Amino acid sequence: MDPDQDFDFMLKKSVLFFILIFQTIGISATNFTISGYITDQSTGETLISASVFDQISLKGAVSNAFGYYSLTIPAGEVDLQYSYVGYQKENRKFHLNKDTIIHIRLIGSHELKEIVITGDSRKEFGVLGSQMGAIEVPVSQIKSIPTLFGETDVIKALQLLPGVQGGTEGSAGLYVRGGGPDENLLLLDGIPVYNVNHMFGFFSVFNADAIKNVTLYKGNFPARFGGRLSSVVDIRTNDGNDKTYHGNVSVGLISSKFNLEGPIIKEKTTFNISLRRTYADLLLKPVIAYMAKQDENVEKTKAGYYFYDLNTKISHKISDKDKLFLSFYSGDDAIYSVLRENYKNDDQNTVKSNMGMDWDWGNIISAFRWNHLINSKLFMNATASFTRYRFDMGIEESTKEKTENSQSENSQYLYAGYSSGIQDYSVKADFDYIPGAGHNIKFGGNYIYHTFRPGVTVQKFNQDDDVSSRIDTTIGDRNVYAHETMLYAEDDINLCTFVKANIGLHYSTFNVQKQFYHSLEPRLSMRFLLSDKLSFKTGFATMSQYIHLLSNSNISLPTDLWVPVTKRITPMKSQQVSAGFYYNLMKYLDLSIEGYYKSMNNLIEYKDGASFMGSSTGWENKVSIGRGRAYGIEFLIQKSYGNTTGWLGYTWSKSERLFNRPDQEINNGEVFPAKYDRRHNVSLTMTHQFSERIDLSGSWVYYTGQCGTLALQTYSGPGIQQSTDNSSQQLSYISSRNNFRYSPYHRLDLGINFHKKLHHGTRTWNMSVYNAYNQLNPFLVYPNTVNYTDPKTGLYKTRQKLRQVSIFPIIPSISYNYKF
Amino acid sequence: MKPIQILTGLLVVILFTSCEKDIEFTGEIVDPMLVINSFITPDSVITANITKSKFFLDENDDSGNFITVENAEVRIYVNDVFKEKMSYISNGNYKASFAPAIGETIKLEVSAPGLNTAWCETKMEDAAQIIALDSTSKITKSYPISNGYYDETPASGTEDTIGYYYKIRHDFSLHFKDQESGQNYYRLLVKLVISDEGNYNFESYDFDFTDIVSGESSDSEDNIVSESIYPNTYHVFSDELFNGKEYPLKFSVTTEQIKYLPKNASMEGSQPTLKIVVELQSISKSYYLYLKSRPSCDIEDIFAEPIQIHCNVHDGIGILGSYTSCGTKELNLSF
Repeated sequence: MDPDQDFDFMLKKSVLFFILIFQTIGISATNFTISGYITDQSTGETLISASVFDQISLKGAVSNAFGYYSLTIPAGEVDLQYSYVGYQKENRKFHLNKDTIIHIRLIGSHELKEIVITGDSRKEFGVLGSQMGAIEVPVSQIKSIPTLFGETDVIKALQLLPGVQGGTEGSAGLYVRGGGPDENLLLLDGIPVYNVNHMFGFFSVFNADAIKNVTLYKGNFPARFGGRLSSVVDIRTNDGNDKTYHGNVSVGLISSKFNLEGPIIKEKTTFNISLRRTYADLLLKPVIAYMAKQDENVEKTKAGYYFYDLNTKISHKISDKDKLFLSFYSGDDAIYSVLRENYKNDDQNTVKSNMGMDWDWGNIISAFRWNHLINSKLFMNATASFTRYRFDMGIEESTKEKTENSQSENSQYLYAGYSSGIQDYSVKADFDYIPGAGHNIKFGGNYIYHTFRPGVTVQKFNQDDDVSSRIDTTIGDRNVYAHETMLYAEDDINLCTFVKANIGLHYSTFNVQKQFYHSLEPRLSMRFLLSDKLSFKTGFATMSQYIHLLSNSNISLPTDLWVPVTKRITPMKSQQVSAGFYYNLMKYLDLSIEGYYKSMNNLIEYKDGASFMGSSTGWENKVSIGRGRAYGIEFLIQKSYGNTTGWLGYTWSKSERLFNRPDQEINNGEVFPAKYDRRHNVSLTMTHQFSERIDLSGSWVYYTGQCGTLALQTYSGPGIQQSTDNSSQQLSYISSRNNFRYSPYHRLDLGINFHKKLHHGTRTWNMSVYNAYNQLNPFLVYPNTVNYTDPKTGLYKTRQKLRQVSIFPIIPSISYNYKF
Repeated sequence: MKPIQILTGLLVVILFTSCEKDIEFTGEIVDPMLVINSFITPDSVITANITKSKFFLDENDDSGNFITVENAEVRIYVNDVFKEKMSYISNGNYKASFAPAIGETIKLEVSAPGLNTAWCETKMEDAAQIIALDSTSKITKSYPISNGYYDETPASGTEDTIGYYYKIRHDFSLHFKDQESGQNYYRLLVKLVISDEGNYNFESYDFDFTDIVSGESSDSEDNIVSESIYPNTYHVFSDELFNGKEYPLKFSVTTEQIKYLPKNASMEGSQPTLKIVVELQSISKSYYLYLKSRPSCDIEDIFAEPIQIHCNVHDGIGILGSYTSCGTKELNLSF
């Protein structure tokens, strides 16, 4: 049987199995449903993945992304226990004789004066859950991890998890299980974010103050997710406190943050607003102004760089059955400069010149959501959204020269601009259907209208209003429009006491420039409970991806461009199988060991010598199409309770590429390691609370060095007949792509927090040190040619030396935070 | 000095210490390898040049010369049967006593004291059939000449004009029949011969390979963004788009000509004759990949992957390429 037939057969079997599963869903007449929202006692924030468990029938459920739960159990006595990470458990005992709504408010650890970081074996990702390859990182943990310049960073916290790498030093890139940086679906409240970087990739756009929950899926993707090969990062933002006003002000080394939340109408309508902005440009403003004053020719000057993030969210509870949410994110980076001069030139003519540069790039995301409880078993979330990433660049120069005597005027105007981006309009509906204990069905659909804006360049030139010299041109490709649809259904099902499965199907279509692609992707995840504390999980997932990010290989630039698949560049596909053991030790330690094997098809890689700098024109000719595979073992031990919390992660992994299609060969058509193939990856993250006033945190990472390509030999190349190279010349010999390893990367970051309760809130001083022992890790290594004259022979000679560029030495930082 | 001042000073020193430094190479230091360079064709006896490679951190003098291997044993196998040992001539060059035939697989096995034995092989490609060479010519630009200078502003053609300078583009179409079997690779060689009744003879290999099979980027005139893809310096191509079919291969040559007005005809000397000599070669795949990758090694782009020049020598470096001439066509150019 050929692979295509094999795949079709497998799909048919999956569909049949899925239909059978649905047929098994029977609802007993003696069952009743208990449903409601689980929220935080003090803030009213909905709690995602909180557990509800009936200790009599031994049936349970977890709340969804909007805090809603539904549990159908037999009539009679019930003893419900509600629990959530870091919250006090709540019990409800009563006689169940009808469908019942119970909204629960759990009391958080901050009120219990107890730090509880994570761990709940009943949760989706714990020993008892069916999901594997996924980790939920509490925001409290993210905030406690010391980081570069003290800037809390969600993505950098995820980089510390096993199976995840961060690319080059300091960057906020994500390389998950051997995948590329464009293979991650980053969702902010379910809406894709296309550019997650600020400051050329050194910071991510997610402001931790606005975030409630972060979940990373590395494999065994539930069917509700699709569109990327390697990972899904599901970030949910805070709704806002529904009782009282609270806020947070933070002043750091490079940015300040402000957060305010509270009720607009008590327990009905809430708001949450978070703003972060860097202020290097503001601090430098008086310095630049002072320098400008020293030069009498300068009329006005300003220059700077900043980025900001603004997250706002309004939620309104219409009734117990209906809730509305309106959320908006805007984040930009900007570089600007203006120089206006007025002076007399050598001919004593008055010259007025004006030079300006303005670069702006960033995202806008807005979403309108409607949560509707159709009945106690069927929950709907309908979303209409808009997401856009755009990059605009403009450089302008104008001069006017006026002759005093003749009053004649010469003028010149020059403008060069460039813009690119991507934007989506999207509508989607997601349904949670909980027919009875033992089933949790999710299904839905999504339609996205993509507009790809390839690089467009505008040039304008005008001299003395001379029509013949005037230039006003626009060069670039037209917008490309694409339609993407997704349909999915999944069931988290208890097959028996010991076996639980998450079975799903994801179907997607992509229509662009008369090309139609579609993909049916079966997903399966199974848990076998070996004891109360030990389970074995295994799973399988296929994924496809219809868009590519064109970028250069080392750093993230705003010119990075998303492009759709084409007739020649077909969608990327991946298949991943994984299996592992999960163990809970003494309720304090969660241990897991997980292995995976992932194959990837239709990957693209730049040909030798090709690079990308902003123009999509001809990009298909610069890339080769090939395949890849990645496999590895991940080990994680997590301490979730007590004064000392944290995790130790270790990954052994391998990621390889093979580009051997005719005329698409890279590395002579032989296997080569992927750029971020790293054999060993260790990360240790710890937080210790000495007292209510002081806590200390630290993280240490060690990676095998990244790969690079280096010519290790030089040799004589022959002359070529009928060409200018008709005599021999020195050539460099590269044995294979990525044949050289940089030195290992390791780094220790430390942070300490001093808390003090003040009259209206709590202030915290944070001091942190990034790269505490000043390890100069490699960012780039290149051969540098040194010329010299041999003092003995007087002969002119050359020698190459390896040169390493590092960018971040030890960097101390300090920040002040006041929470009220 | 107070401790805080010392600490501040120390931090300033650390923060502003250069983050760039020379490092030791910690990888495997590769011993010199045999380098075999040979291009073989049915028209000539087999020759090969044998040298040694250098480790990239070794010292170089400015001659750029490599150590030739004079005591190598170079064995030739034809279709896996030992044929003979090549004789040493000079400067690392070795010569066989025979020319290869079309369809034969030629293997060179080279051993030398202190170096690993290296080998490489190639198949002698069959020739494609050239059918015809067509051409058309047109003036692409003309400028008036006054007093011996031409002026690119057309409006300046006045009574001072004594003649015209022309740029003429000659478009060619070389019709040939691709071989039926498998994937084939070709190299186009175009020579413009300018001769002036024996006074001088000038040859130029410069032409525009305008055909789609050249793989040259269509946006090469886009000067807004930097592009770096393979330049097809040696004009090679594959039959991917016309496998087994007849194909009109397009290329063009630009020439210049000065024509004086009849009143200044006395200024006109003898006009040189222009001749175009076109050769099509069937080349081996390795030779194709080598010629495709080699020009790109000059590209310096820190964002790009370094160029890997194709080699087909096992346990060594270099290239054994084969080519078979499909024939030559000549055309005199006139306008």
